[in-house]
Amino acid sequence: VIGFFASILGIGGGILIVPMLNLLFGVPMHLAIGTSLLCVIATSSGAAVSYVQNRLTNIRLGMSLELATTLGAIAGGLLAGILSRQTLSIFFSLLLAYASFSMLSKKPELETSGSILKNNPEEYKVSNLPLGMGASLFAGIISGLLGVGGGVIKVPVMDLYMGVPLKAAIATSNFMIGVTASASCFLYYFRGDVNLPISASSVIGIFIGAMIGSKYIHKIEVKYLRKTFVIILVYVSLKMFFNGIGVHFFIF
Amino acid sequence: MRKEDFLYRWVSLILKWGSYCSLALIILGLVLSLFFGKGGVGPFPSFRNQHFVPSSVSRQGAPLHLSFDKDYYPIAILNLGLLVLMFTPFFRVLTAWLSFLFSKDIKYTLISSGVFLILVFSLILALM
Repeated sequence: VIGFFASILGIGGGILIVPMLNLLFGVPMHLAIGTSLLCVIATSSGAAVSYVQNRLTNIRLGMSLELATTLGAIAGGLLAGILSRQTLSIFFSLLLAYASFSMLSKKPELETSGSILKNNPEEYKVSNLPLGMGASLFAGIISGLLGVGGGVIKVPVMDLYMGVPLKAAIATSNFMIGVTASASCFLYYFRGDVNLPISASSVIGIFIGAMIGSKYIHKIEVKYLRKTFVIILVYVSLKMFFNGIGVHFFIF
Repeated sequence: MRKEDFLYRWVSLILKWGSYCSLALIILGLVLSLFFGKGGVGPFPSFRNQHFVPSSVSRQGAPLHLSFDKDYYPIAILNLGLLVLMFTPFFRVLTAWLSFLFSKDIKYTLISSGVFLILVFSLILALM
């Protein structure tokens, strides 16, 4: 189920997998993050097959932003020892709250004026690349610090500020998160922070869900994708905010 | 064939084969381990001895143990599947780099070289 929703939303699913493994199944945090990173790669690879074949993915844009994201992921790993995770969580939650508000307030006429019909990279023009690089760098830092894919930052930025149609933004984000997760996953795997039974069973489920999700994205209306994305953003925003102020509820 | 078609075709092929191979190996390793693995042998016990309850979830040491001992075959196959999965994005970037290089797209050859070098750096860091 997580694989299905992660693939149609352009996120890795780490924001759902880590709390699920940790809170529901009691898996220690380092193992939950290692498993989550493998699942993020599975979501990315499983869904990207269809997205790349259908030309939804903008490989050139993905590669450019990936440069910033992977550098950010390394910086995130280094910053982990300097910045307080609480401060970063509160900052992150405010940013997501703003992104969810922006996504909700985007006028529907912008989507019916042709942009969603032009998902092929050759049919729309990417703008604000420096802003996208900055957001991707930040997404990479968050990814390195918290073990998530960073799609919750990249998708709204590409959709709202870079002129990339939502479905193309989802496919491009999906393409990128696998590379970012792969860089961090090597560290977890070779350190032994991957539990084989949990990883294998999670990866199989995620793979199948992602493959099904990527086949159905064409049939889902953008307004429903947008609303689902906003729900995820609000959930993550609240979770990060409560974590930042040191309050831990079951679902937060 | 157009440059763009070449890029998308090869990246898509790498993704398809990487995904299907890793999925097949993981399923095979999991099935073999559940039905034929011998429990409690060495540092890589069969899944029969591992429970999905919190108390038994533990680190498994260095997972890159691809032993030729037949008792370890299921775990070795499973590890191979996970390695194929982890290296698929790596080869995806390499394929894109080669496509840009052959189509003499200097700007994106340099960008993808940067991404590839960062991935190699992270792999070296992990192996160290």
